[in-house]
Amino acid sequence: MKKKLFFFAAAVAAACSGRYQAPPAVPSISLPAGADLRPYDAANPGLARPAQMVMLGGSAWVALGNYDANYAVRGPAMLASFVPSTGTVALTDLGGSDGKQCQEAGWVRSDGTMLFATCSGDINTFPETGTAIVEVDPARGVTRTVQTPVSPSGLTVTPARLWFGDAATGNVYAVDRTSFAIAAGPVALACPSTGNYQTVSDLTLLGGDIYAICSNSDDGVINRLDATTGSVKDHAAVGPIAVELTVTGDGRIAVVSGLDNKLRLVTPGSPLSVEVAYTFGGQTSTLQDVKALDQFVFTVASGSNTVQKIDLSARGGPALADEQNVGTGASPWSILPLDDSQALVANQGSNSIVAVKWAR
Amino acid sequence: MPPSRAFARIIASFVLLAPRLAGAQEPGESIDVVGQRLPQSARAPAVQATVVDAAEYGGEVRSVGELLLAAPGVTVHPLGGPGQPATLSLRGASADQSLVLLDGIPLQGAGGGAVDLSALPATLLSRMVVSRGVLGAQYGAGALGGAVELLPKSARDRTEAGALVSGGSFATARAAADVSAGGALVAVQGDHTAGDFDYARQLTPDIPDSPYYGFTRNNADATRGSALARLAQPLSATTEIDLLLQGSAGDRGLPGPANAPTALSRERDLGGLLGARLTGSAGDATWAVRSWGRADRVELLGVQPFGDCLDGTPGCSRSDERYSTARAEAEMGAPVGSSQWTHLSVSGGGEWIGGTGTGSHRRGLVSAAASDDIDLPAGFAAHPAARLDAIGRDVGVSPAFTAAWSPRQGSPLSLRAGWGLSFRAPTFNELFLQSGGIAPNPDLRPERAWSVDAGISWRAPRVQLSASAFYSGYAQLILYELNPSANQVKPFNIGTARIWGFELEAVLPLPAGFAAEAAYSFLHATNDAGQDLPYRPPHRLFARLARTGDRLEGYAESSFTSAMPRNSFDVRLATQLVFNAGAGVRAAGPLWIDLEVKNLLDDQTLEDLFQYPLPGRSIAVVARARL
Repeated sequence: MKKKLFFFAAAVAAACSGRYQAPPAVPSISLPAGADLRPYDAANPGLARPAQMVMLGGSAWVALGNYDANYAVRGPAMLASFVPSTGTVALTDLGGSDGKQCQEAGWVRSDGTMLFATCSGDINTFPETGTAIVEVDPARGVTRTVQTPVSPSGLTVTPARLWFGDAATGNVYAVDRTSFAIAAGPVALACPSTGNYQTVSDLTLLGGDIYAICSNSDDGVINRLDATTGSVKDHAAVGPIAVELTVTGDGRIAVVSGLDNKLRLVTPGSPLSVEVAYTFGGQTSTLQDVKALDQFVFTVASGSNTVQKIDLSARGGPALADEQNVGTGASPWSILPLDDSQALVANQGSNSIVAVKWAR
Repeated sequence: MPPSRAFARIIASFVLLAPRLAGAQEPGESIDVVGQRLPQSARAPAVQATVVDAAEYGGEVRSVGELLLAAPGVTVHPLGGPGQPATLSLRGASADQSLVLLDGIPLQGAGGGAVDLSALPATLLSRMVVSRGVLGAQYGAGALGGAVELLPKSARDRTEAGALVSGGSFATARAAADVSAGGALVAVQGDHTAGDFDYARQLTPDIPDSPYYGFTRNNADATRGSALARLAQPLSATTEIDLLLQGSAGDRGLPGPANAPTALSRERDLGGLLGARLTGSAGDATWAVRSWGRADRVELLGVQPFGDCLDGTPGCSRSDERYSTARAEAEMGAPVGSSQWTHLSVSGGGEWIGGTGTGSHRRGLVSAAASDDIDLPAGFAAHPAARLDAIGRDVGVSPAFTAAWSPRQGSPLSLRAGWGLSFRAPTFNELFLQSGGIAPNPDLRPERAWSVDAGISWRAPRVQLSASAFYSGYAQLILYELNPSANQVKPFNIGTARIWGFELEAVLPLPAGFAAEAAYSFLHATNDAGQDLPYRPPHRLFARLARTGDRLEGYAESSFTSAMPRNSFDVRLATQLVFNAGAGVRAAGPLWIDLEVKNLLDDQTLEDLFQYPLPGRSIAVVARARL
């Protein structure tokens, strides 16, 4: 059954991924700095701090944190956009009239027409400012902003709602896409039974259900939720500091866990089944992101400055196809595959976007 | 923000601060070492202990951390190459739970926690006594893994002087000298290294057999100066005064992990201690009063939670932490009957911290201790002890009982067993440090631990064999855990640990002036969930073959540390095996010339726990003389 599902999904993915490869991306793209980031205090500008990326309309869109080396937010959250083959960067200010309605952008997602970004807020203020979900029209800029009662962590888009998690608890919330107001939440996820803290790491949509991870340094739990009510239908363990998830080409969910260095695959169904697909070596550290395209999964490890391409269809089971180092001190944060042979990597340490060409 | 991301943000600053985080220790009283044949401290009779004699390594350029590797039960965690921070772990306890005392005066980091062994001057020391176990009753609260007593060189009546200069790889140099006369001693040591050693790393470590690339370490230079002065003078036939003054100052680069180097971060430190002790006797009883004080200052320049910055530029603030402590102690010992010796002590004082990360805080330190040494029939001896410690609001009692048996007076064979229970109060850093990705927790409670051990030893004049086994239980351990709402790690009393193991030690004479020694340690350290505790190597072996003589000396040694977990989920640091060797000749009169090679096989792939590179092969030439 799994094999049939894979071939079907792979065929669909192949049909969608186009006949030709994406044009080669420019090797490195510097992100704006200084006055371009519209600092609150011109003498103390922040750094771009790129986070998640998404493709829309031929452009890559990158969420920018705009904070300094002490994690002090120095300006409004922004989206940077560029065509990978040219690298010319344009900025979209998410901060609103006072520059503080959206601070420290983290996730950016798209429904194919619009962009949606999370704003983690300024943790150095009390009460915390700038926690929000922002809707962005790629042609017109910010169209709507809703302030969130918590610091949002993870985001997924359904036809009716935007679901996001709470960085400080195991709760999820929903924004109604029509009214652009909070419509549901807090809805409690199944979370690790031990540990002092819980956080919602990421969410995604698959087969009409929402999948969300609640994790801490003891363990991680993936939850299958009703996309309308958020009620938990099922859950399964996916490892400590399960940090990101993505839908794979064969209709499963890939999850990376930063503490045990594992890539897990979750097969939808009742109950959810989880298998360890790949274990990274001890020198590979701090897994940050996972994305998928066709039969491949792409991962990011910020501690070792490495990104990996893992072939889920390899004979004998998932296997490493290639690995690249994006530079000492780069601290890669997210990856965006352009096709099977190249990807963009956002580096929070070097405040840059680099293109990776896979050798295999 | 997912926790993995927050961890990545804070890890750099946490690593830099780690050696200074945590660990309240309590002061102790005077110490004496009861000869080589009884390798133990007078403060801790019948405990499992090892004496490291610094004179055995006279022709070698050694740090205190390197010297301690000769003792079983010891793990030294270096954070990079020469001159970079290094911390101590005894029997799997953390650095905060492993006391280090200089002439009985406890040493702490700027936050009241782990001691940086690299800041201690090895040439100013005479011996080190490593006592293992939960020894709060003997050394004060905080000695959950044990204690290392550093015994400085003694002031002698007769004139004696020595000097040493060395130079070698990475522009590493040392100069040391001491002179003693008329009951006074002055000793100095200066060290410098450029620290620019070559190392190798895989850039794509998940690809099997991916190539290693060569790098050169930058911003790893270190310069340090240390001085020691002692004065011991009899005041009467039954009283003596002993003064001790020690100071140290250092400046070093903080190069950061190899994956995210910090070219601009630096650390400066300045510290010292002053102690005065009056000892005497009245009939069969002995007494001592002592007062001492310590002050330390540590400045971090260009250090930020995420990367580094140029000191003096906007937004690049300095961290400046000042820690001081002072204490007065009184103790007395007296016989009770013909087979019992009772020892009582009281002390009082305080400790203070003030700094950009912690703010200003103080707390009182009070203790009262009692112990007995009881000779029993049939070769048995019992040593019950108890100590009350009040550290600020934290008050606890540390009881202990050790016992020994020997078939007859002077027999080389002895059996020892011990039990101890104690606590460690939270340090100022754990309670108050707010810095970058680190949050304080003023509600912390003390950690608690107990242990039991037993051992057998054979100690003839030249042959020494010993074996011991132990079990330790820890509760309320203070561990840093992520607070995702604030993107910070914060300490909590959440840890548990069960550590058991055994230790083997052997010193054997060989023909032609050679001697062989070996120390092996096995550790099994888990939490209540059965997960391995990070940074505890299951196996460690130190083996050394050395020759001493009037004209020719030399040694060859190896240090093996098995793979160890870097976290509780089986992510491991690779096995490390290092060979060192050296030889020296007496060139003229008292002048010796020595050559030594460390990391003989030039393994440039070694890394420490935090993936800081360690040096490959280094060569040093030493010239030394003693009159």
